[in-house]
This record gives sequence, structure tokens and C-alpha cells, in this order.
Amino acid sequence: MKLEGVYKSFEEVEVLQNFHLTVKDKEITCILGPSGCGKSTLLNIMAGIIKPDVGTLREHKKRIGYVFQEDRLLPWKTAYENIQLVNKKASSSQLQSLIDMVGLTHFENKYPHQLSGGMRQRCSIARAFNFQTEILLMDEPFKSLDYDLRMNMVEALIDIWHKWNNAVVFVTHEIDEAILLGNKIVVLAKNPCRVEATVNIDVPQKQRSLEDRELINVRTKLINMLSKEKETSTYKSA
Amino acid sequence: MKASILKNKAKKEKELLYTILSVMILLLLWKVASVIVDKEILIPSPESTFMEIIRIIQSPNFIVSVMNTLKRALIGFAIALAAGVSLGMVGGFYKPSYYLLRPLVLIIRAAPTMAIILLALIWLQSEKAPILVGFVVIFPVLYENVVQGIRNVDVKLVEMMDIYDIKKLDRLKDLYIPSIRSYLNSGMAAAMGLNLKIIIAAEVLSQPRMSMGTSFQIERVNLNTAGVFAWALITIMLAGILEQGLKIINKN
Repeated sequence: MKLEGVYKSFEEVEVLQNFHLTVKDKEITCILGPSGCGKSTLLNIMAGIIKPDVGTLREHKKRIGYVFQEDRLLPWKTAYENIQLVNKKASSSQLQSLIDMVGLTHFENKYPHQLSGGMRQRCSIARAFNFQTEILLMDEPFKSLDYDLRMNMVEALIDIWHKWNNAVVFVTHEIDEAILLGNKIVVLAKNPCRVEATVNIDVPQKQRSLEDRELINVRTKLINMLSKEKETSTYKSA
Repeated sequence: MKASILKNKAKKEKELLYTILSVMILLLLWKVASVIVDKEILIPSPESTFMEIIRIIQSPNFIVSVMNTLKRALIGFAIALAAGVSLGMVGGFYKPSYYLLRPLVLIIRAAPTMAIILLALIWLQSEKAPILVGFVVIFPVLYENVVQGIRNVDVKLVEMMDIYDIKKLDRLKDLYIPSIRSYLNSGMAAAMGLNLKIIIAAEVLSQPRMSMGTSFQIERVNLNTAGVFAWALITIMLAGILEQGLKIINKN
């Protein structure tokens, strides 16, 4: 999937300006940027929820899975039924393995209001996988989870991605999530949203650890980039 | 858990106690008023009204009268529900249809009930006129509930369904109908009680053979105010039973 020369404004505020991005198949592309830099707008354009003012979207995928910031589950359906909703042909054993994979075993017959925030989000991730997507867009999906659970979910996502082996676009503002998941990390700057830098990590995801020297270096580099961007934007707004 | 169940039970008992107390006070006030006025034809005493209720219930025509009225109420309700849900869906989904239907719904809602009863009497037989009146009064209530139910569907859920390419029929079944149901449940209970009252009012004027409205009129002509009071109490009880029945159906 390719975004070429995309412009998007909301009420005369330019969010995206001449934006280019290429998402390769069989790769996890992490989009890392400060809050409010237009990450969600970018993802919504990729999903086709909003249309760009100018610019094109090439090699658009038909089956797009989207994990939103909020769970967006139907309150009157159980976890099982919510997952089943997007692909009614899925067999009960397929559904059950998805439920087990996201750690919702024994909670499949509970309604969303009976689940914790983290469980609801895991349910929405299982739903996205049940859609058998060609590309999976994830908009800060682990935002509502605590650190340990978030790291567990990152591990689970890597496992699932290895089996499924398709394109994932993962939007986050957590550096650790980006360096554990991404084959490519796209660092964004804001006002308007643009690509500040692209970092490629060659270490396979399954072999990564936050204590690795290479990842520590990438981490330091990303922290410097983001803090520099923060200073610039503060200076700009001042 | 156990403590909360006990607390809930205690709360319910307290509510029941207050309701009983309130009914006792009303009965007492009624008795006092009847003693002060001291004319059975103006305000009959609670005892004579109670005796009238027993007499009416034991009379051979009671069941037939109630069943006839009940039949009209249920037919009117079913027609209004079917029309309210189908037209409400059209109006909720397509703005132009909503604006096209709006003047009609506004006229129906604003027209005086008495005018509708009189027109229904001119147009229809006395047996059927009350059904039309009930329909006209409750249709706008149900229609508006359905429109609101569709309009207030969470846009984020619609967006989710767009992304996952959910078919129209599944959207209707999994998103719109459950959303409409929560709005319609409260509207239906109110409409059911209202429908019964309006149908009886129309029967008083249209005088179909053996009905609750006709029985009201007979008691009035005979200057039996206790009989009118008794029928009013029977109506209240019947409306209560219908509303509770509807609640049970909705729950399941």
C-alpha cells in the first residue's frame, strides 16, 4: 500500500501535507509520533474511512482489519458473537483458537460490560484477525492496558503475525512497542504531519529483547528524535 | 454479593411499604371526600365502588365486554407498531422520507383526540372506529421512538461495520434493531396504556355492542356513579396488566 502526496485539512488546519508512505507486505510498519500529530488521520485515510483532499492511495487492499483506540464492540453481543460478527463462516474451533490466543478463554460468553478494558480490547483484536485481513491497521490498540499486559500483547501479536505473515501498520507513541514490533519505524513530526525519519530494524521480532545493544541504540536514537521534535514544536507554538 | 442482594431486597420491601402507604392515604382521602360531600351520585364511597366492582365482575357480560375492548386495543396496537416500525425505519434511514412524513405525523399528533373520534365515527362502523382512534394516537409515539433509535445509533459502530464490510441485512439485525429496541421498549409500554384509555374513550361515543366504553356509558346513563368509578378502577388494573405483560415479553 502506498500513500503518495497526500494532503488533508480539517477546518483549515492542515494535518497532512504532501505525505508519502509505503507499507510493504509481510512487514510490520510502526508509526511513531507525538500525540495529536495526525497518526489516526493517516490510518483513517489508509482504511478508506476518510478521503484525502489531494493525493493518491495506490495498491489499496480490499480486506482491511482495523483495531481502533476504543474497543467498538456491540454491547448486546457476547465476546464470542462480537468476534464471529465479521466472519460468520469461521468454524467454532477457529473462533475458539482466536479466543484462546488473545487470552479470553472462559470469558467468551461474557458481554462487553462484564469484561475489563484490556479484555475488551483483546476481543477487538481477535475480531480483526477473524476478518482474515490482507492488511491490519492498529491505532494505539494497547493504550488502555498496563505495561505488563501490553508487553504480553506485543508478544502475542508477533506470534500471530508470524503465522499470518501479512502487512501490519501499528500506530503508537510508545517507543518500546515500536522497537519490539516494527520492521520499519516511521517517526512522524507534527504541524503538519510529516515523516521525520525512517528506521529499519533487521533483527527478527522473535529474537528481540529490550536489553539488546542494537535495540538500545535504536531506542536512544528514537528518544532523541522525539525530544528534538517536541522542543521544535514547543518553540514553534511559542 | 450476598450483602448487595440483601440490600436490594430491603430496598424493594421499603418501596412496597411506601406504595401501600400511599394507596391507604388515597383511600382515606376518598372516604373523607365522600363523607363530606355525602352524595353517592357525586362521589361514591370506596365500599360502594368495591361492591360495584364485584357486581360488574360477576355479571354475565363482563368477560365479553373486556375481551372485546382488549381485542380492539391489541389490534390497534399491533397495526400502530407495524406501521411505526416500518415507517420509522424509512424515516430514520432516509432524511427525505422523514421530511416527507413529518407534516403527516405532526398533523396526526396535534389533532384533538375528540376530532379524530368524531371523524372515525363518521367514516367507520362503531365496532371499528375505536381501533382507528387508538392507532392515530399511538402511532406518532412509536414512529418517533424508532426514528430516534436509528438516528442515535453509535457512529463509531457504524464505522466499524463499514470497515468490516458487514452486509446490510446483518447491520439491521445486529446493530439497528437492538438499538431501536432499547428506545422502543419504553415507548411501547407508554403507548399500550395510552391506547387502552383512548379506545375506551372512543367506545363511550361509538357505542359498539358490549365493550368497556359502552359499559361506562350505561352506568352514566343510569346515574350509577359508583359503577363509573368501578369501571375506571377495572381499566387501571387492565392497563397495569397489559404494561407488565409487555415488560415480560420485552425482557425475554
